[in-house]
This record gives sequence, C-alpha cells and structure tokens, in this order.
Amino acid sequence: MTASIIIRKAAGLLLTISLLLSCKVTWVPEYNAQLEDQVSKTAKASDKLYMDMLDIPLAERKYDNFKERYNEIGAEINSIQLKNEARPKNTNFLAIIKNLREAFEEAKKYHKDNSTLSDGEIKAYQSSISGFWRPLYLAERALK
Amino acid sequence: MAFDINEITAQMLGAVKTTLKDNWNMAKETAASFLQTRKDRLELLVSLRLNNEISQKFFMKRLEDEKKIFESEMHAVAIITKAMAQKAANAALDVLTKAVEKALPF
Repeated sequence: MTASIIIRKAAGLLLTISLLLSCKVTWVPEYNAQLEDQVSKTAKASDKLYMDMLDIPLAERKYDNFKERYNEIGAEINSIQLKNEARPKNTNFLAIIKNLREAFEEAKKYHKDNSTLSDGEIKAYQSSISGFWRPLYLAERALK
Repeated sequence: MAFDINEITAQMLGAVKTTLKDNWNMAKETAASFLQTRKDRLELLVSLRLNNEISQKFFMKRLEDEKKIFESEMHAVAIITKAMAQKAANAALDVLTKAVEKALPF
C-alpha cells in the first residue's frame, strides 16, 4: 500500500516536472525564412510592374500587355495566403493579407476596366500597394 | 541543490527586462517607419490631386486605402508586440526550467 502511494507520488512529480520543462508560450507563428523571401520578391514584382508602366507611353499601357504579370503577382499573393492559413496563431497575418489581396485586385480591375492608366494613377497605385506590403514584410521579420 | 524561489524570480525578471529591451527598439522603429511612409504617401496623393493628375473619385478611393493600410499596420504592430512578449515570457520560463533541472536530485 505504502509502496503504491510512493510510486503514484513519484509519477505525479515526474509528470509535473516534465510538463514544466516542456513549457513554452506561443502567441505568434514561427518565423518562416521562405515566406519572408516570397513576400519580399512579390512586393518587388508589384513595385516593378508600376515602374515599368511609367517607362512606356500611355497608349502602350494597355491592360492586356500586363495581365500576365498581374496574374503572376495575384497567384503569389494567394500562395502566401495559403501558407499563412496553415500556420497556427495566424489571425493578424490573415487580416493583413486580406487587405493586400483586395487592394491588388481592385487595382487590377481598375486597369482592366479603364484599359490604360495615367502617370498619376500609376504613381498613386505604386505607393498604396507598397503600403499594403510593408506591414506583412515587417511582421514576418519580427518573428525572427 | 537548493531551490531559492526569490533568487529564481529575480533572475526571471532580469531575463524579461533584457529581452524586452533588445526588442523594444525594433517595435519603436517599425511604428516610426509606418508614420513616415504614411506621411510620404499622403504628400504624394495630395500633390497628384492638386496638380489634377488624378480625379477626385480616384483620390477618395486612395484615401479609403489609407484606412485599410492603417488597419494592416495595427495588425503588424500587434504581431510585433506579441512576438516581443512571447520572447520575454519564454526567456523567463527558460530560467525557471533550468533552475528546476539543476535542483533535481536525479
């Protein structure tokens, strides 16, 4: 009887200690270097999209000439979203990506509906879209 | 080995302070960079509108974007502060677990 109590107490003590030793708090996803790289490259691609538009005459800025690049960037944003959906503690990241995706889709639709973009519209979009990328990039880096 | 809870608590607090100090600058710099880039964007938008390079409707739409960008920035600040708190809490727990490991008789 006494031996049984001692064994139970020892097992309880071991369990408590092992729980304590494995104790780590987790409030944010783990840093992902591959995701940081993907965010950085796609942000650069969307910046370059508008820089290249500014370099050519208005008549050549037709949506059709850029739709492939819009789609490539859109697909990368979807891929970043998918990878974040698979991470635990992802609520803040998903909210940032949702805003970015909606802004990029709106910019793409505006170009498609209007066929071309003026210099002013390009500069404004370049600046706004970059503003949507920055929080995502800096948040991922903060996880390091 | 003796387990002095007062000594361990002081060490845990020290670990929290060091971790928060190391990460505080990054949080401050990020918030400052968000403010500066917002100022630059608004300056650009106002200048484009005043020079009639964009329509009023397009200008108002970009101001709507600013609200969403601000929301995203707040989410980023939340991530940064949570990551800071996580590092600090884990540093404190690390001190405690190491002290328990040392004090164990087996």
